[in-house]
Amino acid sequence: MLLKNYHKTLAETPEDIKVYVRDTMHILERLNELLDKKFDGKQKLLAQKLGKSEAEVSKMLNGVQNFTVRTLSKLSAAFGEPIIAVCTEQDHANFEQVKIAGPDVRLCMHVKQGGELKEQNYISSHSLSPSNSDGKGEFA
Amino acid sequence: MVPILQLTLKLSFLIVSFEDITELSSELVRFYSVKLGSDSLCEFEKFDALELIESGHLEERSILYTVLDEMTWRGAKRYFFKPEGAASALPRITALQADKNLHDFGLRLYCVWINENAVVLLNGGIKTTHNPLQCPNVKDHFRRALRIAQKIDRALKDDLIAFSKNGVRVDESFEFDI
Repeated sequence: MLLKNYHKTLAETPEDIKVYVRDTMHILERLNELLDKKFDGKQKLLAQKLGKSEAEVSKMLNGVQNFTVRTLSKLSAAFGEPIIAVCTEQDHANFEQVKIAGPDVRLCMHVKQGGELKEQNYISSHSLSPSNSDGKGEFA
Repeated sequence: MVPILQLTLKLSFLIVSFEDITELSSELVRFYSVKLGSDSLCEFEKFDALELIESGHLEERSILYTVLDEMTWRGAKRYFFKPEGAASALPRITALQADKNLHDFGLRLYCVWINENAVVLLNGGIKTTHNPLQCPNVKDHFRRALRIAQKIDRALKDDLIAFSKNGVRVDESFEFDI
């Protein structure tokens, strides 16, 4: 197939655009995951919780609007669960759960207060099933 | 690219054949396109060949192609696509471009979302009006996407075609006009 611009464009896409798309898709996946989990996938129920119209909530959830910290804070409060985690080397970090997603593997880490590793699971992104029988891997 | 010969539709006297875009596909997601009549290029090849000049449009194509690339391992989640009647459009992630496209509505690629593992990529262009049917650049692509989407949807419901990891399964009797 003659796709000269596809390969050229991907090769020349600036790193900040790739990171922007990747982060936006991460957030979209998380938002839709939480919408299913907390509101049975119904934007109407989330809109009621936020006191906004369904159209406004739809824009929040589909990437039409930029995600501001304020918007994510409101959504996080409505869901009652975190949406994003921030990388830090500070000792006081208190991540309950961090997921690192990539093309080949997803690493889910549960970290106690103070940064102590509590539990971690590797999940194959392609098979969408645990990479070994108990779904757990070694911390490298 | 490997042509899939099993599936042909008569579409307003145009024979439509489906092709597997192997360059874009992965174990998780297969991207297809269609070839109309005796065209030498499939619809997505035509879209790819679009000459874009403005930096904003070039950036949009970067975003669009990065989205396609990301879907190869994330899956083609429904919410990554913008619903356009029976068809869909990409990119849905437009926030970065919202303030830059002052003279148009940006780049659109029309497609047919089948499921998280199969997408048919069609053609598109720079959308210049809010209503795609009024835009000289995209109206034909939009109409065609709707018709193809409707026919595929009906054929799926009638179990005349099925998309799987192995490609398209087509009932031998599957042939119709619109």
